[in-house]
Amino acid sequence: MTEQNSNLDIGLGLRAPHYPHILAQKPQVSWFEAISENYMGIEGGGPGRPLKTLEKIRENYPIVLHGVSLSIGSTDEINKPYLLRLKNLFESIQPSWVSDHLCWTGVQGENLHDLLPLPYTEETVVHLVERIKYVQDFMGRKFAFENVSAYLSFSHSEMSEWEFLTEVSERADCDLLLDINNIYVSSVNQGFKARDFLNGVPKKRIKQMHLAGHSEGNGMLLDTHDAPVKNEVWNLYEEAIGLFQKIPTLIEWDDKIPGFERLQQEAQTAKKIWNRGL
Amino acid sequence: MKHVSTSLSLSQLQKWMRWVITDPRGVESALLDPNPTGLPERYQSPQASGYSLVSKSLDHSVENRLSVYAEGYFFRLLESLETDFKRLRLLMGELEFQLLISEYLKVYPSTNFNIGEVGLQLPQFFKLNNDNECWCEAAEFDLKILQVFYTVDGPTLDPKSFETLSEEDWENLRLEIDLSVKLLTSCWPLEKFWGLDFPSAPFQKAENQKNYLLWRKHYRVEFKEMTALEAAALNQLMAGKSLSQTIENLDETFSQLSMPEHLSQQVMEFFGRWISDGIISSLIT
Repeated sequence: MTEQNSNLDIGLGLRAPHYPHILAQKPQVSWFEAISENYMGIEGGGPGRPLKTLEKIRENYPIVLHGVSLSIGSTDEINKPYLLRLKNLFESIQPSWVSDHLCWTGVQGENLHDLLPLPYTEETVVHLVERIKYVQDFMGRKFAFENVSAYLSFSHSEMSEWEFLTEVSERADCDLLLDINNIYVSSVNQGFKARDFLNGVPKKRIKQMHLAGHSEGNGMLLDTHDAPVKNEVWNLYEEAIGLFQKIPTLIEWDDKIPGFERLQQEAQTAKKIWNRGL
Repeated sequence: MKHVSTSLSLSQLQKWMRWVITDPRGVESALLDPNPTGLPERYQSPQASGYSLVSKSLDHSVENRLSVYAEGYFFRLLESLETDFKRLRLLMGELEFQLLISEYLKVYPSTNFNIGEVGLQLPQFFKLNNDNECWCEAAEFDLKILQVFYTVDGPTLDPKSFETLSEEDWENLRLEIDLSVKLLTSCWPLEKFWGLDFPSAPFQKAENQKNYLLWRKHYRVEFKEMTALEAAALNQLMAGKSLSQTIENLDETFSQLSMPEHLSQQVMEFFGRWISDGIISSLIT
């Protein structure tokens, strides 16, 4: 089963503390996004209870799977055992669509468990395009790739981030997941105009948007997902909805996770803005 | 678009970033002393440095920007290990646990996409580097709980399978024990470890070992203390002995402690409990 994303509006990030509430109360939520790796288990083991829970939730809600470890930008070989396990998960959950990040998470066989930035060069574009095409062929489906928050940039970058996203998505024929909070965080940390970013990305490639809270540390904005969405990010989201119309949008909250009702309040705020889109 | 010529490839840049972000001395020390003498390979910078490719600004130095990633790397792994090894963490205290993890990651950096696997060698590493027996036991126990949680799914016993058993079947009946089941023995109070019941005074090692059972039921990890008789019975069954052979063998070992008819009655009581607890996954006739 694959839903059209036009049916979905504001979704919520699925997190373990909310499982009992969701299973017992079946709250009104358009869709959930689950982190793929949380349901893939450990090597030589099984996925255990988390997957069983996700399968139960799947009976009542559309699910989107969002990965954090594809490491599409790494110069290591593509991790085929990972892809096979991801494929099994896709078969079991039948997600509406799937996504990961336009970044690298490790190299030389080590995993840094972080979404590390790439230089925006032709070399990187070629590298990414080849790998995205391979992954999409192997998995038999299109991926959406998310722009990450970055705390540094590279002096040898040959293009802006939005030009980079355009080049990669057009040449690899993949979708984009536009994280509005990440755009804002990177714009402050690197000193570019967030509006330029929105105006520069290819509208037809945008499959989904993310909203989340951030915090401050080391004199920078940090993409911590541990707070409500900030006003500046709501404003930017309003601009994005004006430009891209009704793109399915997700509220992420991963640390200091509040009660489910608080998440629903964030979703209601997003829905009011979303409704203003055409 | 501008075209900038750089002699550093993407691969070289990533190798350099991995080195500087994961160097246990921190970004500034690593950059000040990129090729320290007398330290393992992990501390040696790759030949090609990406330093000049990281943009600096008036507000932030290159070191400052890289440190955001370096701190994130260590604390993300630390937090995950604190969750998976919560008993060890509680026994050691925050600072000592942090020092342990810092040393551990030098030898065992994460090599798997699943952050939950980074601690699989921690008990073994801990044992080699620490002589506190109680803490070693806690580390082993934490790891076993994790392994039980992620055990692959086995078959589930169909209660109807008893209906078709003939008398002869009962005679030769063997039990397939669920793959998640782990039998543990310890002189340390694992029941207190399990309940996170940690007194301020250190635990005392008992003279005699106790028997414990760790398993997964309905995808939840369960734990209980058990008698020597129950442990012996499960040991026999897990070694492939039939139910009747098990009772006979136990009779030889435990006959001084219990009347034979009481012994078989007790084993059959265990049998009933094992079924309801999901410890038996199938009957083999």
